[in-house]
Amino acid sequence: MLVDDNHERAHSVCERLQAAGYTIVAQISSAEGLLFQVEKYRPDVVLIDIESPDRDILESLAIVNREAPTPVAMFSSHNSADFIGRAVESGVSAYMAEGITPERVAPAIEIAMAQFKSFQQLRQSLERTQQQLSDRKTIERAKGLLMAKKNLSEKDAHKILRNLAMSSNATMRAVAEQLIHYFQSEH
Amino acid sequence: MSSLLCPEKKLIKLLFLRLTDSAPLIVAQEKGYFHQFGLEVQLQRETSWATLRDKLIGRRADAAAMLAPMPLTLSQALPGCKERLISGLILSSNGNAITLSEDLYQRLQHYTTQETRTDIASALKNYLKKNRGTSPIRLATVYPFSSHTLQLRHWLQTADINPDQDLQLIVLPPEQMLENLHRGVIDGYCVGEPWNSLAAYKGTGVIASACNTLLPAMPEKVLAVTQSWHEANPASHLALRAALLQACSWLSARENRYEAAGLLSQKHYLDLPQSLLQGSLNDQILYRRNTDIIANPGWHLFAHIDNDNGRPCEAKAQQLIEMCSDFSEIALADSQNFRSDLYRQTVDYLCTKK
Repeated sequence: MLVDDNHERAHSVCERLQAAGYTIVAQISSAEGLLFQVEKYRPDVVLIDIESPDRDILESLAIVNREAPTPVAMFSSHNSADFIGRAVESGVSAYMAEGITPERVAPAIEIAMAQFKSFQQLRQSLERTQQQLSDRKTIERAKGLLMAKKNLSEKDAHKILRNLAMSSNATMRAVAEQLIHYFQSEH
Repeated sequence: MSSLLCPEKKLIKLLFLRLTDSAPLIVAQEKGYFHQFGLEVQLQRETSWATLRDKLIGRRADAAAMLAPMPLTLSQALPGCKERLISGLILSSNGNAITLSEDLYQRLQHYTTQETRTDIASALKNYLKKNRGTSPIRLATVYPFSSHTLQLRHWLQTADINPDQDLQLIVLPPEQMLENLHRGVIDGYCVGEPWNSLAAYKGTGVIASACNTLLPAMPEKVLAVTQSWHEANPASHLALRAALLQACSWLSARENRYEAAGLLSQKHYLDLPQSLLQGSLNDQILYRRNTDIIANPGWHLFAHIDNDNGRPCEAKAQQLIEMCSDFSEIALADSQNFRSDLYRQTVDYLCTKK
C-alpha cells in the first residue's frame, strides 16, 4: 500500500514495485481515510511520504492496535541508524504488518527509496535550472542598463560586472541586482 | 569566562518543533550561550515528532528537544531499532492544555448543570452516554507516548470516560492541530502552547483544562541524543547541556520572558505574534474568546541550576513509564535512558566555572 499525494511520483513507485513482482493493494493520497484503508486492505507493508501528516496517524495506530502495521526500523543485515538515515533522506517511511519479516519487505522499501530519491534529484535540478535562468536574465538586464547609461560595449559592461563581483566577493547576480536597483533609484 | 571544554564536534544540528517550550534552544542561540561553550549551532525546525525522532536516530541531526517519554519508549515505538536515545537534561515541565472545539463546547452546555470548568469532562461523559452510535468524538495528541497522551487520558478517566472505547484518539503534528480543529477533522486536542491559546483567541476552540492543574510538574521536553553520538562526542554533549541549562535558568526569571517571546516570534522560529506568545509564556491563560485572562501559575516551568526540575532521574523515568504502561507494554529497563549522572556533570561543570 502506498500513501503519497504526489501522483506522478506515486505512479512511478507503483510501476517499479509491480515490475519487481509486488502487488499494490491500494494507492491513496494523504487526504483519504488511512485508518479505514489499512483495515480494509490489510497490507503487508505501507509506504508513506515521511512529511505527510497522515504518517503520525499511522504511527499511533501501530502502538494502540496490535494488528496495525509497525514501523520498519532496520533490515537484519543493516544497522538501524544507517537504514533510518537513508529512509529519512529519501523521504520514505515504511510500516509492516505483524508476522512479516523485514527481509521480505526490504526490496520493496529499497525500490521506493530509490524512486523517491530520483524525484528529489529531479526537483532539485529543475530548481537549479530555473535559478540559473533567472540569474542570467538579471545579469543581462544590468548589462543592458550599463551599456545604455554609460555608453559601453557589451564586452566592457560584462567586464565591469565581473570585476565588481570579484572585488566585493559577491555573485554576479547580486551585483547585477544592486546595479539595477541603483539605476532605478536614479529617476 | 574561559572555557576548558574542547568539543569533539563544534558544528551541531539541533532539531525543534514550533512550540513555546522550544524557548531554551532559541534563547541559547540568540543570547550566545552556545557560542560561550564553543559550539556553532544550527537550529532546524521540524513538523512531526516521529520525523524528528527518525532524523535523530538516522544521524541526520546531532541532538533534539524531544518529548520526555520518547527516549523511554523507543523500543516500543520502533521495534527492532538497535539505537538508544538518552537524556541528561529535562528542559521544561508542563506547558500543555486540553482544548475542545467551540462547537463541541456549545453542545456540551446541554449536558451540564454547573457552569464550572471542572465540569467539562463530566459533561463530555454525559454527552457520550446519550449520543452513542452517532459519529464518534475524535481527539488528538502529538505522539502515542507523550505527556499529552498521558494528560488527556487522565482527564478523560477522571470523568470515568474510557479513552480506548468511548471515543477515538489519534495523533497529529502540533502545528496542524488548529487547522484540523477548524476543519472539523477532530473535536479537540491536547497540545503544547501556543496552539491552545491561539485556538481560544481565534474562537475556534475553548481550553477545557491546563495540564499543570491535572498533573503538576510533569517532565515535558528533554534534550536527547543517541547513545552512540554521546559516546563519540561527550564534550560536545556537555557543552550543549551547559548552554541549555543556562538558557533555562535565564528563562526561569520572569522578567526575561517578555524578551524571550520576542525572540520566539521570529519567522524562522515560531512565526507567530509576540503578543500571543508572551501571554502563555507568562502563565496567563485565556480559556475562551471574550472572557477574562486568568493567571495560571506554573504553566511553563524551566530547568534551573538551583533546583531539581532539570534532573532526569530514574524515579521520574519510572513514573512516566508506569503511566505509559497503562495502555501499552513498556520495558522498565529503559528508565536508565534518563541520565542523572550527566545532569550532575553539567551542574558541577557550571559551578566550577563560576
